[in-house]
Amino acid sequence: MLVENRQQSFEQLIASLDMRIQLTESLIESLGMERGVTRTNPFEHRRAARFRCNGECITRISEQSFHMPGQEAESRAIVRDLSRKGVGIIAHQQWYPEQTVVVQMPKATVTARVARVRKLGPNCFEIGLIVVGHELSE
Amino acid sequence: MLGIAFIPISHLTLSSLFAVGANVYVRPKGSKEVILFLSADQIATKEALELLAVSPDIKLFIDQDQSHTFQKHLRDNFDLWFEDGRIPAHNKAAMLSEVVRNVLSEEFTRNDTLSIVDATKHLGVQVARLATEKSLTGAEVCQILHHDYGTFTHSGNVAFYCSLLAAEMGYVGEELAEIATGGLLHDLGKLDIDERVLNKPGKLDEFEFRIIKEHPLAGFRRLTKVNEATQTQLLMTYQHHERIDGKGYPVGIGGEDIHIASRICSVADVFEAMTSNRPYRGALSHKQTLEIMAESVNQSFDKEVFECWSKIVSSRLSS
Repeated sequence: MLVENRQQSFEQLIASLDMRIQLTESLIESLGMERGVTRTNPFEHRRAARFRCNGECITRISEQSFHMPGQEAESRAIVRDLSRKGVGIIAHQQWYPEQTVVVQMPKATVTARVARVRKLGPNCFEIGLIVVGHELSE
Repeated sequence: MLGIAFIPISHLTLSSLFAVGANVYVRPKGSKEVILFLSADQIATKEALELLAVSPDIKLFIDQDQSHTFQKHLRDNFDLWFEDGRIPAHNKAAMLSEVVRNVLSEEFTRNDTLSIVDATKHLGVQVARLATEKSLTGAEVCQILHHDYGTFTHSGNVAFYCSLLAAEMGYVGEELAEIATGGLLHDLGKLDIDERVLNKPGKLDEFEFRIIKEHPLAGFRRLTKVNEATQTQLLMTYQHHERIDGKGYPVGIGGEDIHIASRICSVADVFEAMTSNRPYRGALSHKQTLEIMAESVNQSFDKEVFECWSKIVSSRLSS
């Protein structure tokens, strides 16, 4: 019952937020195609495998974190991948390294620190987060 | 004098109002020997200073062992001299340049971000005040500054250039001082980069270049840990390698998404780097540098900012 309620409230909340990400063509192509463990390269310092997931989430800049001009506190985003230690997000706005954000997904809520940010296109930023805490819904 | 190491100083750090606290030596043109010019507690005469001003071939030196005393003397007395209306602005600029190098060298070696931010805040105010001195031209500042490439010299020079540029663009007071301090801090992240990569005297391979490209992010991370850094300074540190066409790093933002102070810093940073001596090449002239940079306007640099800088530097070339 509790799980269903959480699921419902997540869906209600996400529906109340506009999806403002402007997906790039390559991202649109890869969103439906890629599955399983993601590729890596020697320049990345990964300790855990990343899995593609492409689900929606709600992100919130933590109240304890510093804020930069023009940033919206709460927004809708896409979770690109997940690993034991990190989350990859696509967001419409720029976040800044060391900011703390809360990522709310249907079955878990993760608190994470921004590690790096790369602009992919207008209103489209790829953000690497390091997980600092999590809470499972079931 | 055999066996003693000497380091060059600018004649502009001398004044007929005070001694410099270290023995000052001269090396006449064509000579390999240096001779004592002033003892540590001796004040230069006006005539001697006038002669030095018109004799660029006469080089001044201090004993390397007395370098710390000389720097400390300048640092301790600078605030006092700064208020002294009898000391010309270009002398103050030369002294401040020495003080900035010295303070940055000490603070960066200590590697304590809070202490670095504190020290640079005070220096930023002084640099900004000099930048608005009407009697000091941008051209003079370019001439007075050291042009050996080191992180301390580079950061000091970038701060001077940022202030001149921002002042010309209409920034004043606290905002100008904030930009000057941002210039001093912009390469803070280099403290986290391996010196072997940072000082490599040749072309960097892909892996090394990736390491170098981490410095804006590293500097930003350091500054987020101290409350004293302002948003402008955070962004100057983070964005000074972004390009106006969006092809820079670390994020790849472009145009007006790049903070105006970062666009100012980007022009100052590249100009300073190109006009400084590197281990693997000599300094380019101001004219050559401006010509090369002009080719990258609207790609690397903001057109308005670059044109403003070009005007400041060209005033010297044409005079």
